[in-house]
Amino acid sequence: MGLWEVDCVRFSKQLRTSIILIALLLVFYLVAPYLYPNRSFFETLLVLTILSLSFNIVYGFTGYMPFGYAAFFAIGAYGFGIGIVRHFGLVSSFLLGGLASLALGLIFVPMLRLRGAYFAIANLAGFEGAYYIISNQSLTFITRGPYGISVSSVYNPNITYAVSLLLLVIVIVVTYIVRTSNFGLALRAIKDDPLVASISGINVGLYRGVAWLSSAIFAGLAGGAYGWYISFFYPSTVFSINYSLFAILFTIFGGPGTIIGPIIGTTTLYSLYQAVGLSYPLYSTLAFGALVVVLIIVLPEGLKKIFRKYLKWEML
Amino acid sequence: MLELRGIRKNFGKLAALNDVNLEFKENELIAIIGPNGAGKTTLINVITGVLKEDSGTIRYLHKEINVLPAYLRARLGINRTFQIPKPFSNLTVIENVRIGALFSNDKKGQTMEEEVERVLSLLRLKSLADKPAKELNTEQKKLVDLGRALVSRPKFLFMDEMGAGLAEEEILTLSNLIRGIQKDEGVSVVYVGHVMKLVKQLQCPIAVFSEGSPIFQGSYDEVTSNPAIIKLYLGERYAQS
Repeated sequence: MGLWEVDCVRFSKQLRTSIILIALLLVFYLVAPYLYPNRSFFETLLVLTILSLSFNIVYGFTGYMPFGYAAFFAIGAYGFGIGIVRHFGLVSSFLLGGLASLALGLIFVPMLRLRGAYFAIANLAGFEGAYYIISNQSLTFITRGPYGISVSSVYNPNITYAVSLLLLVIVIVVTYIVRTSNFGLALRAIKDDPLVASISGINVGLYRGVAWLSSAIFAGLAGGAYGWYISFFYPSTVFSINYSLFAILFTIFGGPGTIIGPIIGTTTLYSLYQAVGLSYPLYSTLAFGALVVVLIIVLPEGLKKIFRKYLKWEML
Repeated sequence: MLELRGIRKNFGKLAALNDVNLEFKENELIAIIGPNGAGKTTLINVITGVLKEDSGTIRYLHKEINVLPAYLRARLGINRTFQIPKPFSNLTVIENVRIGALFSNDKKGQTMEEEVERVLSLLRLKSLADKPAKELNTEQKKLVDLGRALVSRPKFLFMDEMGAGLAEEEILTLSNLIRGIQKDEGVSVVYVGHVMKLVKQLQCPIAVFSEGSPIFQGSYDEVTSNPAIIKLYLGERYAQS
């Protein structure tokens, strides 16, 4: 049985909805910047949506909560930045971002032996470790250490925007395949009961690892796109726990394990954050923190559950 | 043939399995009985790879399978059900059975979906196919658990006590189901339990476990007329005379 073998019935059932979704998103991201000319907002929204969807591959399908998830984002930005500084070329540098994140994901694989809060804390420690390595003065010759990295030589917001949009489509397609494939079914079984899953012939460690690493790659690519757009960044710019918080909050708010959930979650909450957060930065952080707690306790399935209960609609 | 040689498993000072030597043949039905704590469930756990034995070997298909992780033993055709049924609660009934079919041991030319459909109708679960397993009652959960194991076409199926709390007629239905499965699916069923009424209905050889090892093997009549076993486990009301 192939890992990626897709069940045709399940695959075609929601195919039309997904194509409409992708079309709507493309129209939105191509038209909206003309109605509300704030390029930075839409690029950031795009990057954060990709980040939430990547996070969703881990949290939504395996139940692991990586609090240090921002490390993948940051290491992706750094992989890209180092590639540009070393004149690897644009495409190779961009892929290097994903590759760097994949490598970090591999280093973090043993953490998957831990569960629940222990995993979350270990991952947070991993995040801090990666931060101190990247920002270390003695590694300045590779990472430019605390002095930050500049990729202004390749600055081109239009191309960054187009590449981000393409990346969004790819991550949606991948999530769709995970949802409808036997691989995704096996992941859901593992999430429910890893012991019975292994009794059923599922290699639990391998499947978890594959989900973990593919999630890491996309987070890294999102980080690369972000670094490319902002053009200059310090370690603390990208190694910000805020990105973990964003991905966690947006995904849970919308509905983990779905495609539309993280998209709606990111769009609503990030817009809110921009509207309120810029005038009251302290309160917005407080409110976001409180929202995480409330959501996990009261509504761990987010809008997905509300849609199911009141609209009788199973979110895609 | 599934062959256990000198299996030992201790929990602290307690010997849950104490030098167990057993052979399970292809295509047979056998019951294992014994008092609580005799090591019956531990035996299943060790054979299926849920627990690691302290010493001893398990041979199957000319391989020492005790070095293999649980998922590889399952793929070789050793499967089980649980005393407290453990279907995947957030998956629907049909998805539960599909999970079992993912790494089917022997497809016999049928597609996965055909095989899933067949098992669903065999266990009369078709009308529940799209219901999440968590919404089922205990009897239905047991059947889903069994369906997940059965659809993989195992060579050896270990069933951990399914008869607890059943009424007389239900016991008859269940024993007929188990016997039917054993015959039609070409699988060796090892039924582990202590509901004697069910064991009687299975009409098969019985192995009696006590304090971590098998102490007696024989038919239902032989077991229930053995004074030592009556004294040890069954109590006077099972005395034949």
